[in-house]
Amino acid sequence: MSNDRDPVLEALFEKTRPEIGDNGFVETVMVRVDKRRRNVMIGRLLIVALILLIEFLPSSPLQSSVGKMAQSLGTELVTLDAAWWAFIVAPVNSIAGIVGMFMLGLHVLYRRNMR
Amino acid sequence: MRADPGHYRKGPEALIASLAARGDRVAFAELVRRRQGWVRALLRRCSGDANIADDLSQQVFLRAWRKISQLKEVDKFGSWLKRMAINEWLQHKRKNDALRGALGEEEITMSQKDKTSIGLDLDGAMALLPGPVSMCIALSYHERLTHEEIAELSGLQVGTVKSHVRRGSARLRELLSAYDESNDSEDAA
Repeated sequence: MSNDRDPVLEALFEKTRPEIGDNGFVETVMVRVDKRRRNVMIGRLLIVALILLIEFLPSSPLQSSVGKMAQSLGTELVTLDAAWWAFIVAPVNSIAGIVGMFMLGLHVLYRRNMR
Repeated sequence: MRADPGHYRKGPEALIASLAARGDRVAFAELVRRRQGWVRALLRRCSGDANIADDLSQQVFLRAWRKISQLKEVDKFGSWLKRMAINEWLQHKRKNDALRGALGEEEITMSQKDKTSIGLDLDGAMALLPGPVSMCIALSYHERLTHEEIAELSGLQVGTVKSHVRRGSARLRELLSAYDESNDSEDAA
């Protein structure tokens, strides 16, 4: 174990050690925590409302384009004759698989850089 | 049923942290109550400014609330929070260093040799150090951590920490030379 502390500075830090009382700090933090909880809740409700709106309003062009996009995600990239081989590579042999792997790669990179 | 804050006062921190990790607001308030003085004092040492330290401390606790559900080892809540405070401080410094460089340094002069003015001078001198250096100095002198512990907390190499502490100490001694002189003259008298 090492420290190499300067004794004069050590004494100075000790002499001027701040003594901090609450002074309403906990309350201020908890008000902000509550505000954040409320905002998260409102955000979630808005998302649900938006989904319901898309679901129930007569929005066939939007619904059909979402449907087409979902269908296209399952499109095979390479057509394989052998059923067992097609079954094995199915998770990566589609647009959804490629998009999924790309997102996973981004997530791993993000975690590595943020650590 | 509402949780009684009084029950949490006596509970061990690991238990309170595990309750807070499950979304218990009262438990989190208890953690803030227990740790606020320590986080604010550390950031006050790093920044040399009570207002900045309090703003950053609030950010630290808000971040802690957002991330506490991911805390795996609840018995290490203290070091987890300390790491968060250090990151908050370094982020703040990165944002503000360019601005400070443009303003230039002010010379610290000793006004009166009482505890308050020495504290203010020390705060002022700390504020002039680069972010990672002031952090290493605060962790070494204020928190009394070893170089190895600082390296583990901050993610810096031990050699870098040693160099920061050495350079920072020398710079602080230089900036606070008036304190030394007044100390010597008092000793001589």
